Parts: sequence; structure tokens; C-alpha cells
Amino acid sequence: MIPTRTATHTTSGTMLAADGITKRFGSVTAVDDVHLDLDGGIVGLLGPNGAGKTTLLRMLATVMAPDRGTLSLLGMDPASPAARTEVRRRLGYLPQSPRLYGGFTPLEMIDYVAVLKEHTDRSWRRREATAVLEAVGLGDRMHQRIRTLSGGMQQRVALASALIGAPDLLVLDEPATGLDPEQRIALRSVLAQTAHRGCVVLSTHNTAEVAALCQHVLVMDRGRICWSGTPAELAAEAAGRVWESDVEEPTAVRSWLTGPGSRRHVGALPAGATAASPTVDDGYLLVTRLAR
Amino acid sequence: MTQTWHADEETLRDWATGAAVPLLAASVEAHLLRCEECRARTRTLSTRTTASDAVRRWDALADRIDRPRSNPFLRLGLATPGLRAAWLASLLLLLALPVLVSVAGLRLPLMMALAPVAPLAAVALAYGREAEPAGEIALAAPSAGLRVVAARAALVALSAVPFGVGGAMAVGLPVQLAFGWLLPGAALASLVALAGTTRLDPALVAATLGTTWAVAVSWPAASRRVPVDVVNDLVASAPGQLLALAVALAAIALTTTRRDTVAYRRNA
Repeated sequence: MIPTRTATHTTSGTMLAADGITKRFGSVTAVDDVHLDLDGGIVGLLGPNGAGKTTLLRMLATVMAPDRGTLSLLGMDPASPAARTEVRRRLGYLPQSPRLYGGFTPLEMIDYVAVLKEHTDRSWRRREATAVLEAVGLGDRMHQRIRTLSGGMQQRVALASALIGAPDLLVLDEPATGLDPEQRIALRSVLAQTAHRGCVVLSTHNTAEVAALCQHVLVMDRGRICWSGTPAELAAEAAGRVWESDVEEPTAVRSWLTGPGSRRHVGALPAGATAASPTVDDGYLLVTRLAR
Repeated sequence: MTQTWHADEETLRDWATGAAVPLLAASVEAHLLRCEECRARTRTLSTRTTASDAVRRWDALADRIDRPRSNPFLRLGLATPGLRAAWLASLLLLLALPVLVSVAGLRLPLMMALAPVAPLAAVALAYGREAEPAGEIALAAPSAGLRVVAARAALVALSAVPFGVGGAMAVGLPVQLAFGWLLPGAALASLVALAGTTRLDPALVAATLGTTWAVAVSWPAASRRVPVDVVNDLVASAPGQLLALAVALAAIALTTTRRDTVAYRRNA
């Protein structure tokens, strides 16, 4: 049995803190008594569909209030209207399904979001909008109507709108959706810049992304943070518990095909099997299964 | 009208490199402002050439096409065709009403019944999710909530009121009729704003309030039991105006107190 790590990840500061935040929708508890204490860097939020990742991110983005518990974002309590406005001035948010007005060009959309973020200087808006669109690889599409862009490009327009104004706190719900490998690499460098001065919290289903990008990982399941640590620590959870073979293994916690006739297994190592090198993927599959 | 004619590549290249004569250049530029297809082709031409003049010309054109509205207030209020249509509809309604009233010979208290509905509808529209071009992204912006709603409603009200009052004065309606609808309009709009701090749909509240008001004001005169002047005088009287002012102030005060719920807790 893998020991469950503490659900509160503590580092040296309080860029982002949550104390027992809970959110219910009717009889469903989407986020259940979550505690966080994070100080900068890139934080990856992993979890199966319906784990509560989007609801947690929406609360961190000040889009909705928790039913219970308290939040501290950039050292301020968003429950206070004045503090919430101040947090939003330093916040960038990418929702899971951004619905952007298709009649705008990307440049117009970013300019509009900049107005919402209280940037009144027109030339500043133009300059910054151009810069963030180039950062997400849309420099050559900024004059094209959004409705004519592909889904991936529209996602990048939304990502650019989160980046405008160099926010200190970036909350991104699946930012890599629709990006090709080259654009994912470009995204990493953009996020690293924000992480250098503030904090980036992103949700993803891509464990490789987490391994390459994040300093901290939170694993969510059924509304709770069931694991917290670094990507290396998450991979280490599966150390000595991963092996490969060409047959199904009924005793394995998880077992999946990796190629023709080849399977990878996570669980208690059977007698005679040789342990394989564990990955973040293995650690994630193990902790989410054992949390149930 | 559908755009069918497109400039050929040589013409576009001449324009991009500055080789086109002034008349042709002006014509091409006017066409490019309307034609996305030719802009796309010109972009390709511009990226294939290193001529600084071509790049400068292209940048200048792109700047004209995408020029952001310089006034952030207008940018928030008139961002989409839906918002612009609502603004225009309010203006037209308030401009047409005095003329209608004048033509109808005051057989119905149309001005008092319908003019207050324009600001009310504007507030209802300002709340609509469809009115927000940035979708959920806007909810995490510092101006989210009451500020953006108030900016949109104020834009419509501030621009429409002079039309309503000016139009009424121009067609010679009595002063009490030209100004008497303003406070009831403010009261109804404030009530819709207050509804936006609850889980009620502001559009539904606006429709209910607007219909109730219009029927309540026009019914007695329509049934011919009460002269039109009596209804108009009653609404424009000091007690009627004071009551409307009190309702507006109370609703505004309550909305401000509950502004937290406009976006933050409303989404919860």
C-alpha cells in the first residue's frame, strides 16, 4: 500500500493558499475541503474527468466563490470586493471552454480583454496585444476573424488574452489543448517567464507535460487533493511497482497495452518480474487508483 | 451585397510597393478595407517582399482595419453587433415615440408607457451572457460584474435620453411629457439592475416589468374611462416623480450593496 502524502503542499511563501475550500452543486460536492499553500512556480493539476479540477480553477480565478473555506490569492482574500478587483488586475485566466466572439479579429479580442483589464492607453494595448499574439504563434493571423480560425488557433487567442498585461498569477484550464508539439514548447517558455515572477496553475491530462513543465503537481480525485509533490516524487511513487510483460497480469492495479504484444503493469511486483523505470504516468495511475 | 470583384496580383503588388498611381492606389485601398480575400493575398505579397514601403503600407492598412476604439467606455458598451443594435434600437425608439405621440394626437399615453422601457431593456441586455464577447474570460477581469453592466447601461441611457427629450421638445410635446418619463425609466432600469444581483433572469424581469408598466399606464386611457391627460399628469406629478425617484435610489443603493453577487456569487 502506498502511503498517501499530505494533501497540503507547503512551500516557503503564500502566493496562493486555500484553507478547506468546498464547492457544492446541489447534492454533488465538486471540490471537497481542499487545502493549498503554494509559492510561485508552475503547478500542474492532474486528475480524471469529473475530479473537480475545473471547479477548483474557477475559484482560483475568482470566477466563483467557495461555499466554505477561505482563499488567499497573491496575499489577498478574494471574498472582499476591493481585494478581488486587485487580484483580477494581476490575474490571467484561460477557461476550459472559452467562448470568444467570432466577429472579432484576435487583435480586437485581445484589445477588448485589455480594456476589461483597465488598460486605457490605446498604444500600449496595441503593442501588448501584438506581443502576446506573437508569443502564442498567431502573429500572422491577428487580422483574421476568429470564426475563420481553427479550434486550436481559437484556443491560442484565449491563451493570449490570459497573458496580456504580464499577470503575476496565471490560471489555465488545459492550456495545451489544440497546440502542436512546437507550439507546446513555445508555451513552456511563455509560462516559465510568468512562473519566474509569479505563479502558474494549470490543469492537464498530459503527464508528460507535467513532467516537463511543472515544479509542483497536485493530483485531484473526487473533489479532493489526493496527492501533492514534485513530478519526480510522483514518478517515485511507482518505483519498484512497474514492470513490463507480454501477457495480462490480473494482480496488477493498472495494466495497459504499450505496443503489439507488449503490456505495462503497475502494482505489486510479481515474483520473477523485473521492475521497469517508473514515469510520472505510472505514479499518477497508481495514486489515483489507490485513492479510491 | 456580396463582394464578387477582386484585384489582380499585379495591382496589389503595385499598391504594396507604392508603384500604383495615386488614383489607383486609393481605389485599391478602399477595396482592401472591405475585402478579406484580397487582404489575405496582399499579406502574402507583403511577406514575400522586403520593401520597407510595402510593409509600412500594409501595417497602416491593418491598423485602420483593426483600429481599436480609442474610448474604453465605447469599447465595452458597443463591442458587438448585438450591443450596437440594442443601443441603436433604444435611440430609434426614443426618437420615434414623440413623433408617434404627436401623430396619434395623444389618444394613448404612449410616451409615458413606452419611453421608460428603453433604459430598462438596455440594462437587461447589458447582463446577457451573449452580450459578452470574451465569455468567461471577462468574469476574471477587474471590471467584471456591476462595473461592466453599469458602463453598458449608462452608455445607452446617456446617449438615448437626449434623443427622447429633444425629440419630444422638437415636436412640441408638453414639458411634463418630455421629461416626465425619465424618473420612471430610471426606476424600472434600477429594478432590473437589482434583479441582476439575484438568481432571477434580468431579461425576464425586464420583460415582465416593462409589460406591466406599459399596460398599467395605457389601460385606463385605452378603456376610455380615464382621459389621457389624467394618466400623464399622474405620472408627471410631484408625488409620482418622487415615488419613482425613491424607487430608483433604493434599487441603486441595494444593487451597490449587493454588487458582489452580480458576477462572483451569481456564478456559484
